Amino acid sequence: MSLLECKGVTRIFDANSAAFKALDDVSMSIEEGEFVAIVGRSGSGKSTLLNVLGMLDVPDEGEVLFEGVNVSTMSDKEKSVLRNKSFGYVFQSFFLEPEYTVYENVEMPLVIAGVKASERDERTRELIELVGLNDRKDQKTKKLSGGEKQRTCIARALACKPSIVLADEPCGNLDSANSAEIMKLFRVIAEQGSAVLMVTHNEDDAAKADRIMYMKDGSLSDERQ
Amino acid sequence: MKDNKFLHFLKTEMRTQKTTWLIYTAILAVLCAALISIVALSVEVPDELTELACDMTNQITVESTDPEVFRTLENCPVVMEYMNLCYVDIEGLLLHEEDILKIMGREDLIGPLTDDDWTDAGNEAEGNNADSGEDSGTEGFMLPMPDTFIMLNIDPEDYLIDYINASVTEGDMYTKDCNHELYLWISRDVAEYRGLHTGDVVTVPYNVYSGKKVSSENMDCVIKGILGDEVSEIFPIQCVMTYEVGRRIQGPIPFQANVRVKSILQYNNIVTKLRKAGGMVYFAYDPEMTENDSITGYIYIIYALYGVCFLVLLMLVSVLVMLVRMYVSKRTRFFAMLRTAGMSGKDCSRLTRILFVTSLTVAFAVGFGLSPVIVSLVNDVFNEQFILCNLSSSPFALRNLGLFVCLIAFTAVIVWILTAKNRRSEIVEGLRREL
Repeated sequence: MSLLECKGVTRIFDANSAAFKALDDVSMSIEEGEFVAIVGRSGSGKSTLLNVLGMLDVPDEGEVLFEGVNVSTMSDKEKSVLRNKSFGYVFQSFFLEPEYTVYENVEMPLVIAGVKASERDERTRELIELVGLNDRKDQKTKKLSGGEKQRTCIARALACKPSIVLADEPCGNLDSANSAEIMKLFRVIAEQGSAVLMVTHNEDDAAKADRIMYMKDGSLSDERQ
Repeated sequence: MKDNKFLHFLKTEMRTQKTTWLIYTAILAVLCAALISIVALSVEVPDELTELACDMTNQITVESTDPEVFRTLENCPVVMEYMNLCYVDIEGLLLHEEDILKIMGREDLIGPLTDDDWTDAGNEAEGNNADSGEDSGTEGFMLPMPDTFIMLNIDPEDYLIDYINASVTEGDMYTKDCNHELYLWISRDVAEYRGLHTGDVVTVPYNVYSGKKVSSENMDCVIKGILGDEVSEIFPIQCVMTYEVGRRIQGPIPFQANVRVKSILQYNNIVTKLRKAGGMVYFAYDPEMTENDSITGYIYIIYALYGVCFLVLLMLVSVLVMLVRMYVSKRTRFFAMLRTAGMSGKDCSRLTRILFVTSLTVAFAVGFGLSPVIVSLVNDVFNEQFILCNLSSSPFALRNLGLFVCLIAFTAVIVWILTAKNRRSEIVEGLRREL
């Protein structure tokens, strides 16, 4: 049984009455501890796929299975709990609360999960140390550099020890040195047992993954088309 | 024990977004203070206002021979609800109208009155007044009747002054508890017909209306004299009534204004009805007053206060709606982030509500504290501008507290609706835009 699987997923956006098929009958799976990269140009549908797999969006057709369970049968509350406990998200635009400190941003999923303050503090400090931001933990994230922001994002994504981390262009706003650091972190995450699914348009970053898939015009394949 | 996530984000939000919350809180506090202040203000009734109220409504005297007038009075809700009324029922007193006419051999006058009768009566009355050299100071008409009359009043300003020796003074009211005497003069015809003489005491039945209660009473009246042929005046049968419309109602201006305006309008209504029905209306305190002048001005003042109150309330609602929408729009990114971190759409909405209701409570508490200062300022300015109205702050703090609680409940409902409607779809849409 795969950790995360999608079968025949189709997603159609109906913008201004002109239907656009962002995902067209997409099927794929990812196993525990696997580091998978999906490569595609901008607008190819890779972010949409990530959102559908991460239960941030709902497919028009097809199904998404997490540990063999069809997520479409889950309530909003159940999905929220699953997102909190089993999914970590890393975005190109970081998606951090700028007025919160690094510590507060990393702590956020733990608060939502209802973890006790003492455990929360311990876990937050551990994660901040993991991503190398110990000396910046009390800084507001709006004052961080791009690389630091992305490392904060990764620390936040790992807060609840997720089964899978979904990363959408995690190095899109970073220079090559910072990109390399982020890729190393993903490798560490995969080695620790969490799967990593990364979408990117950068083939150098994708090359660091265990498996590469290619996306074009809403269709996914194992080989470059 | 798990930490409360709402409390955690509430504290963090209030700390990190303090500028935003301070601005929101300040705006709401000022509006809330204005609203509480206006509601807390009361019209101070004594002195000038009472005088004004008396001028416009306090006491009127109505006289007419037309039963329609009395029916109008009896059926008028304002009389029953707001006034203390004494209505001396002349029926069965000494003679019925028809009896008198029969005695005088004027059966032709018996029957329903026509418009011509009224006109003729008016002309005849004016002629009589002119002949006698008296100026009644009234307008209208008098029914052509024989030289028989029954007087029950009273007003020294009235044209009946020559024949009055009543102990009733201006402003007295005919009530059960009011100790006054009533003197009667009757004509020779009546005296002979009934076998009455000067000094005889006759019992006069009358009804006393007080509020909605009606009681029948009898009053002993002394016949003070028998009038002879020299009396050529024709007098209408009179009903004397006094009532007070300007009832003092302590309460917030909006409610007070509502009742007062209602009373005034009802008062106008009854005066109009009485006049249409053929009654003559005298204003005890100001016979020459044209009621519309004073009343209209007073209504304008009251409605202005009423209007300001509603205006502030509308401002409060619209600003509140605007602030909530602004905050939700500004923080969509934040809620979307919370959602990716595992917070459900419902919890995001709940968090918004908690944030706003907390902020509103603080704002209203500040406004509540500010209101006495504003009341004091408004008092000073208002009392300088409007000499007829004195404003004062209400002594009933509990009422303001009640308003404070009502505002919290009211705004909580608004926030609830605003954050619940389409909240989830907005968050998802915001998330999609961000991603």
